This record gives sequence, C-alpha cells and structure tokens, in this order.
Amino acid sequence: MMAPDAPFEIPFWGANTIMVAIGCAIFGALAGSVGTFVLARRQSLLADVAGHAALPGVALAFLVGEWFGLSGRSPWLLLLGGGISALLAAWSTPWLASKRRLGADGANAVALAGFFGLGSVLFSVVQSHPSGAQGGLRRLLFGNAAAMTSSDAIALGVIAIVALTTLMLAFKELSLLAFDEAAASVLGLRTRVLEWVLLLLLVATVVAGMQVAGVALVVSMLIAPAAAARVLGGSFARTATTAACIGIACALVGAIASRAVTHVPTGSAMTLAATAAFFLSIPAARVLRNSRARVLTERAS
Amino acid sequence: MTSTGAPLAIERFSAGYGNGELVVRNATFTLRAGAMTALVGPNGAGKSTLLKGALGLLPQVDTSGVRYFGQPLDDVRARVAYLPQRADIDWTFPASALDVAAMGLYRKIGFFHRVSGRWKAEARRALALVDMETFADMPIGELSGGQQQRVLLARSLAQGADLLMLDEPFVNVDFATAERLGAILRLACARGMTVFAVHHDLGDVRRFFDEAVLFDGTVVAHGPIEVALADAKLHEAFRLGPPPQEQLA
Repeated sequence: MMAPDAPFEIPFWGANTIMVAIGCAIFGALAGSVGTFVLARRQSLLADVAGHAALPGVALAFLVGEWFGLSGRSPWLLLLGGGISALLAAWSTPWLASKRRLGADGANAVALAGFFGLGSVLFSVVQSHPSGAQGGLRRLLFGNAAAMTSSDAIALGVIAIVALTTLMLAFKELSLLAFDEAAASVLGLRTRVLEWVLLLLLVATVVAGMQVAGVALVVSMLIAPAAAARVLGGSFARTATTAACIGIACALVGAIASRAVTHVPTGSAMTLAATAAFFLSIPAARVLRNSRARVLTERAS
Repeated sequence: MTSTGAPLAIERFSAGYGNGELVVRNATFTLRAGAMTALVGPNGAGKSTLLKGALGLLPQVDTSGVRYFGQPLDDVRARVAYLPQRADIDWTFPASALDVAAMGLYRKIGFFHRVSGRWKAEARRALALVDMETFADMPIGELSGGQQQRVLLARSLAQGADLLMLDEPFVNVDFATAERLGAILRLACARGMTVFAVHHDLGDVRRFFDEAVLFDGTVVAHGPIEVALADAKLHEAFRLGPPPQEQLA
C-alpha cells in the first residue's frame, strides 16, 4: 500500500484524472477569457484582492456550516462563502479608492492585506476545530486539483458554464465598456449593470479557481494568459479566445505537473506555466510580426 | 435630419463633482442645428464638465435642464454621439479600426446579437467616409493620433448620430491633420449633423466653426464667431483685463 501523500495513489490516467483535467480545462478557459476584460479595464490588482478576499469567506462558511451541523466541506457552501467575501472586496475596494482619496493602488493594498489577514486568523480557528484539520481547506490556499471530488467538479462546471455563456452573450457590450465607458454610456448601454456583470464574472472565476489554483494564486491564471494573448495581438474577440486557449493549456500543464511531482500545489504549477506562457509570447509575437511583414512584402512585390 | 427642437438646449444648468463646489453655474444656451459650435474658455473653466454633465456622465448632476431635440437624452440616445478626450481612451486596447467603427452600430445591432458581415460592411462604409477604409484591419494602437481620431469619427458616423459632441478633438494633432479633421466635420455638418466641440485653439475655431460658446464657469458669450469671440468678451472670459484700446481710452 502506498503512503497517503504518494503522488500516484490514483491511477495517472484514470477516470479521476480525466475529471480533474476537464475541470482544470474549464477553469483555464474561464480565467483566460474573463482575464482579458480584467486586464483591459486595468483591474489586475483588484482581481488579486478578490482572490485573497475569498479566504475569510471560505473559513467563515466552514465554521457556520459546522455550527449548524451541516458539512463544512460542502463545495457549494464554501463557494458561497468565498464568493460573498470576494464580491464584498471587489465592490468595496474601488469605492474606498474613490471616496477616501487613497487611489486604487493604496485601496487595493489595504483591502488585500486586511481580507487576507482576517482569512488567516479565521483559518487558525478552523484548524483548531475538531473537524477543521481534516476538512482539507488548506488546499484552497494554493490549489490541489487532484483532490477534486465529483461534487467539486460539478460546482466548477456549473459556475463556468453560466459565466462563459454570460460572457459570450454580452461580449460586444462588455468590450465597448472596456474600451470607452463614456461612449458606451452615451450610446445607452447600462454601464452600471455591465460593470456588475464583469464584477460577478471576476468573482465567479475566483471561486471556480479556488480548488484548482487556490485563492492566493488564482490571479495569475486570470492575468498571465490574457497578457500573453494581448502580446500576440489581434482583435479583442481573438485576444479573448487566445487567452482562453492559453488558460486551458496552462491549467492542464499545471494539473499534470502537480500530479507528477510530489508536494507541488496545482496553483503554483499553473502559475509557473502561465508565467512561462507570457514570456514565450514575447518572442512568438516577434516571429508572428515578422512573418506577417514578409507576407505583405511578398504581396506588394 | 428629423429633428423636433434644437439639437441641444441647456437651461440654467449647473454641474460639479459632488463635493459641493459647482464647476458649471447656471449655463444657458441653445445650439443651432447643422452648425459647428465650439465651446471655448480658459483652462479649468468647466468645459469638459459641462459636456460630461450634459451627457449624464456625472451621476450626481441634475440634467433636467438639458434637452436634446426637445427631449431628455434617454429618449434620443441613438441621435447623440460623444468623442471623449484622447487621454480617456486606452489606445493599446486590442481592436482594429473596423472593430472600433462597428462599436457605433451596437445599438442598432441589438443586445445578444453578434456583429455580422452586414454590419461590418456598414462600419467599413463609415471608415470610407473619413478616408480610413484601407486601415480597417490595422490595430488602433498602430495608427497615428489623427488617424485614431478619424476612426472615432467613423464610429459616430456609423451610429448615424445627428449631434456629435467632442472633447478636444484636435489636441496633439499637427496642422495637416487638424485641417483634415476640420474638413470631415464640415462635411458631416453639410449632411445635416450638428457638431459641438470643446476647443482651445482660437485660430482653429475661427477657421472651422460657425459659432462659439465662450465659457468661464458660465456662458460669457454665445453666437457667431465674430460676436462670441470679440476682444472684449475674450478678455472677460480669459480674465486678461480690458482690451488695449479700452485701456488707452
């Protein structure tokens, strides 16, 4: 019998691995496409705040669940808790920045540290709880896709399908909001509603990514694939599609790497893959530009 | 044009940024349909605030004194287009000139519908009107400042707006580009559009515009260029003291 933390205790290409791979791929697609909007609206740090802010919500949800005699490990309960606190942070931070003359930079730093500090304290309480240490909540910090259960996968799938459908249906309106908010408003688009849609999509991505990438590193999967796609160029729709594809690739590479190497959290492996994708996109963009220029020159001659 | 009422009528309109201080105070004027009107005044006079406030872009501002074609803005949004200052737009945004021109059609296309070939053809026609058709597939970030402004103008033309409100459209463009933009706006006016633009260069205003609103927190003068920009009025608005001939007298 293998040790409990052995890397290959589950068959590498078994049904569980396929479920984990599908879950990671769905998350990668969601993170890449939503990240394109987050990057375009210069809200990368806000995404980081939302990710870290999910932590106290998750811990509180666990404690409340246990208090009422429910299973504190229920994925829907944890997602709800993480989602509420991430949404609270994502909504209140820009408000704090505008009302208290802190600026986005200061407000993001204050909110991130505050929410994460609160999360750490609540996590200590969870760990001291009789069932807390066995709850496996620590995996939500840096992700552990291999520990994904079928209910986790269903929750992730439902969130991702709803979010991606919303994104596709409102794509052109959201892209105008990202490009020129004032013109969108004058044209009659409900910019406040669209802003909330983007905020909810960001929070949905954060909660969907808690299990696979972890709250501390989910931002890397939101931003790095989108940044790589942006470096590669093309229209906004093409950038979002490319970002989704890069997100899928990075999520799969991260999941496989964390499965193959002992004690490497999935979130860390995904982050490294996404960072590598970003740096690879720089020479790739140069090659693409040169080949395009060559084609144009040949056509002209 | 099927207007009922002036393209823009502002009556006793005040605006600020919610800190209790009013930047625009009791402004009243009416734009003449089919004319190019410049909003002129010193730095900090509240020209952009007037424009944004009248367009409902400042949430705390009461717009009950603002009428477009005789109606509240919400009833005639399809007929009003706005071009913000260049600095308000992220020109590194991943979009082609065609994508941006097509944005003017989003209201016509409708929610949940994609930009099909028919709409792309219409956006291409709008780009042709500003002589930018050959740049349709070029990323906007690779265009010059003047070309970017022309793409934004194409977006407004695609929208089919009857009133175009612009905030400093000629800023940071060279003489030739300013001439070209001015000619495009004049052509749009000849086709029935009304143009209202914040502008700081009095030379450009005299060359391209029919009328001016001289503004310094409130309306100092309004009318044909030679009346609104008379020396005495300019000295009053720009707080330069009385004109030299009055000092001599």
